Amino acid sequence: MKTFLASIKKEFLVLLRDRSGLGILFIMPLALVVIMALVQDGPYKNFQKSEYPMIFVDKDQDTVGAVIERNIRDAHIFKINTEINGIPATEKTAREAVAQGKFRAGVVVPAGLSKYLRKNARMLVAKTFSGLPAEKANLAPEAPDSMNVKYFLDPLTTFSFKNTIVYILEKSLSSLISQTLTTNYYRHFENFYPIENKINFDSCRIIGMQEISASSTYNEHVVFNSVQHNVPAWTMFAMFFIFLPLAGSIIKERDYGTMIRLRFMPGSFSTLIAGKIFLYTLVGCIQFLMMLTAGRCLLPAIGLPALIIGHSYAAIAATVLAASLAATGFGVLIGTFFSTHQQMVTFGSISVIILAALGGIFVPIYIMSKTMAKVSKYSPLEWGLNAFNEIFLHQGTFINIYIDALKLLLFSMAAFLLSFLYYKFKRIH
Amino acid sequence: MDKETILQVEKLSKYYKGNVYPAVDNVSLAIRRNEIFGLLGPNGAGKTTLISVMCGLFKPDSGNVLFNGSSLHQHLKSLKKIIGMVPQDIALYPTLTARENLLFFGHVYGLPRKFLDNKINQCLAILELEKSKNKKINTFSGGMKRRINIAAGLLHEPQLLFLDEPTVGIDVHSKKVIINYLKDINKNGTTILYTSHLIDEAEDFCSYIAIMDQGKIVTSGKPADLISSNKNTKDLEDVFLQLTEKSKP
Repeated sequence: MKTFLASIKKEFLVLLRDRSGLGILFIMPLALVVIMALVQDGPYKNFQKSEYPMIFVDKDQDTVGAVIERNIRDAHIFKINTEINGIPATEKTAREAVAQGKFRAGVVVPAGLSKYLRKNARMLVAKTFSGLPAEKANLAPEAPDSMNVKYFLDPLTTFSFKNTIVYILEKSLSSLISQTLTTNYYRHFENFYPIENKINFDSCRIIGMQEISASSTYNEHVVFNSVQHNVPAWTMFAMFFIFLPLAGSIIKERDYGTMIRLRFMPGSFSTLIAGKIFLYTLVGCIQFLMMLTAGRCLLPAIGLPALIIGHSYAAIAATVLAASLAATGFGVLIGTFFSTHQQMVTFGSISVIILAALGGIFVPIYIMSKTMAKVSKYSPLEWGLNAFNEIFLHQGTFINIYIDALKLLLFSMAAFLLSFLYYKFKRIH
Repeated sequence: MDKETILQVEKLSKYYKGNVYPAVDNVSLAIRRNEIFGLLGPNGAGKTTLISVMCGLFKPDSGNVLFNGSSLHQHLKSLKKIIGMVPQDIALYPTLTARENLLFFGHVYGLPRKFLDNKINQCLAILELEKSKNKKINTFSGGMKRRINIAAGLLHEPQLLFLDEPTVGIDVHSKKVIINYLKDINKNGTTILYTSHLIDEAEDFCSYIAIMDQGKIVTSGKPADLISSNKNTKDLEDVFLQLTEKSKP
């Protein structure tokens, strides 16, 4: 125990006086999380509640144009413009502007569309009661091209973006058609008997839908934003960068000759290494707390959303401990295998960056290709990030993260074992 | 092995991986209690390898090392508490102070805090480093570092002390302080095995000397006996040169 405590104290003092090591462990991740959260805040906001510029040409100037415009505004996705450079847009100028990328989309409501709708609704109701068979009555006339609502899209827009516009237009037109037909049916029936309670079918919800929280336990609505992605992601990245001071200290001990002295001393060498592992595991946990504080306090102070951390503190603690042990194991492995500082820095840094890229640190895994998403499952950074996302975004508990935590623990055990075997092999020969 | 012998080496050989010739070749020697045993030889003679095997850092490929009559490698764990080792490198933490280094190594030896504090103060006083005890090692001169390096191997008052080139590359004052300190601890009962290629220093310091070259002991004896038994030699340096030149192929 004395040796273990002495080792922890020694490692603590050495680390405390290693300014570059402290910078890598605490300042670099803080800077990364702030910069990345700020940089990605825009794109994430766009993804969620963007205001894409849209050019809207209302030649109808009547009910249909007004309803479509209202529904587009209510979607809170588009910023409607009706003019281009101060001049009211026409179909031609609107198309040109969208083609030039000035607007993400354009919608044109043809002139006279409301009148055309009303006229056709009246005719359709009249035909319904004309006594003619349906095929002769032409109950479903097709609108001419000139009476179609037209939309055009910036070629850079995604399929989901197009679907959103189509949905808004379809919803607007369906509602207008049913409302107009209903009104005309009422008028027809009023010729025969009075109708006292006229129902507005547009606002009538005989059947409906409701959004509820996916979590059965909590109803907190968590939005996936740049903070929710970047804080756990860069925490994992920073934790694995523990390898730099840790492996550096192992190599320095070899270079200075202190390792030989320690091997010759009566205290167990593995106890001395355990002191090192303990301290750096603790450093990983402190890194997490620092990043958590940044996510909860610092980022909101600079205008970013606050990090939501879920409710299972036991699951958080298990994930942090497992991730920290995995990072420490990686550091010990690198420090044992490489004999020079330069080799260690080059290989270690590139490895962490590759593991981070695969692990979804730079870009979320769900936007990776299927192949890369499969490969990402082998990155310990992905295990950690996945566990944090389960807890933070899905309100997960220990049950939801124990497999990822176990993977991280096994990774650390394998790293320690490999280091031990390699050290033993080198020592014998 | 008689009672006066503290360490005996029997037909010891050690090969490094990939080398055809042994670094230590069938060496036998005996170190008597309270002796200052000098192991001399040119660079690459095999001194550091031999001392590393003798103190248990490496296992020999053949032969045996006996400490007080029992196999050193078999009882290494318990023997580490009564053997001290001062490596050739400055095996200290440069960003820790002299006192922090000594405290750490003392704790690893399992020494009680009070004993350790006293011992550290005593070592620092004798080695004239009291004023620098709270300074970081990386601010020390080469000689000061060497002195702390030696103190770190002596905190537990070992029965047998291995010193690998303890005075290499240091100023005259530091050398004098170190040699005087080592003589003192030898008087108090610590047997010393010391390697060096500094012949003058060894002649003055050692009570028994073995000269090593190309992995073999080429001669051994008391310094005066070595000088008298070799023709045309007026000091140990002549003996050394004569024997190590002879052994060249």
